[in-house]
Amino acid sequence: MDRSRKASPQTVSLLAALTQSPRSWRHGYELSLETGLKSGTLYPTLIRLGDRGLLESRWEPSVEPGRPPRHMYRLTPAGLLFAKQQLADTTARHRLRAVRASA
Amino acid sequence: MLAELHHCDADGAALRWAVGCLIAALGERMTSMIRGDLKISSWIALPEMLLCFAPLTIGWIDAARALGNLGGRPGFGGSGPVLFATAALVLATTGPAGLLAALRVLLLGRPVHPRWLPATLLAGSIINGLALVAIALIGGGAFGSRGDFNFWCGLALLSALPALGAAHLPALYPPSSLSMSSVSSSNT
Repeated sequence: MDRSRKASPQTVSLLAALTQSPRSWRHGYELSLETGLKSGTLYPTLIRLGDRGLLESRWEPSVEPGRPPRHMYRLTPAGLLFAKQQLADTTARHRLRAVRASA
Repeated sequence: MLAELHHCDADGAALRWAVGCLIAALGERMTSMIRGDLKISSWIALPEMLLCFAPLTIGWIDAARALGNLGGRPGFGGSGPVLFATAALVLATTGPAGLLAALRVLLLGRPVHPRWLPATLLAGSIINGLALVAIALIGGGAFGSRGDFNFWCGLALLSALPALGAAHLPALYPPSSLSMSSVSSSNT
């Protein structure tokens, strides 16, 4: 039985970016700019999500000759479900904190 | 990762991207290389645990004998030698406690009990080391002064080795498939 684990804030922000357009392939640098995550944090997170089957990737040949191909990522159906769960949990926790702070 | 460099806005951003990728790559490489754990065969763990805890156990027995010879009861209100022997007896309890816990795991195949015992043994070993250092700083005595060979031997046998044994103790359970307890149960 898989143990459901609370995703880190960095993972949640990455999942939020990927769910914006779940069927679109996204580049690493583009995700870094959108989430604010540095490459040293972004790529290990992408690898972990890929290892868990939540992310799929493919290579895109470069349009400019002589340039290396780029790696692109998008959520799998299981990843999309996981992302929605984590985002819902995060939203619920923020609401609870706001209620406690105001009380 | 490399391909993204060509799409970075500025040289500074590209440099930061490259450094981050290097860190990520090294981290993944290190993670993939870590395959071992602290579990070892019980036949090897037993001499290891004896080495770690037996010297301090012998020290505990010595302290108990010394207390008996002095004719005093253990306590912190007696004469100097009784006080010293009592303190040594208390501090050296880490030895027999660790040895018994290790033998329970290795020979009987039982888990470490109570669960806080390894942490307590580790703390006791560290306290032993601090006590030795304090004795050496105050004025030498049985363990020699700082820099003396006896001091370092004392530190190793009475503090460092028990600390290592305490740190390794939780990893000994469950025992490996070639443990002594499994061999003895298969022979019955």
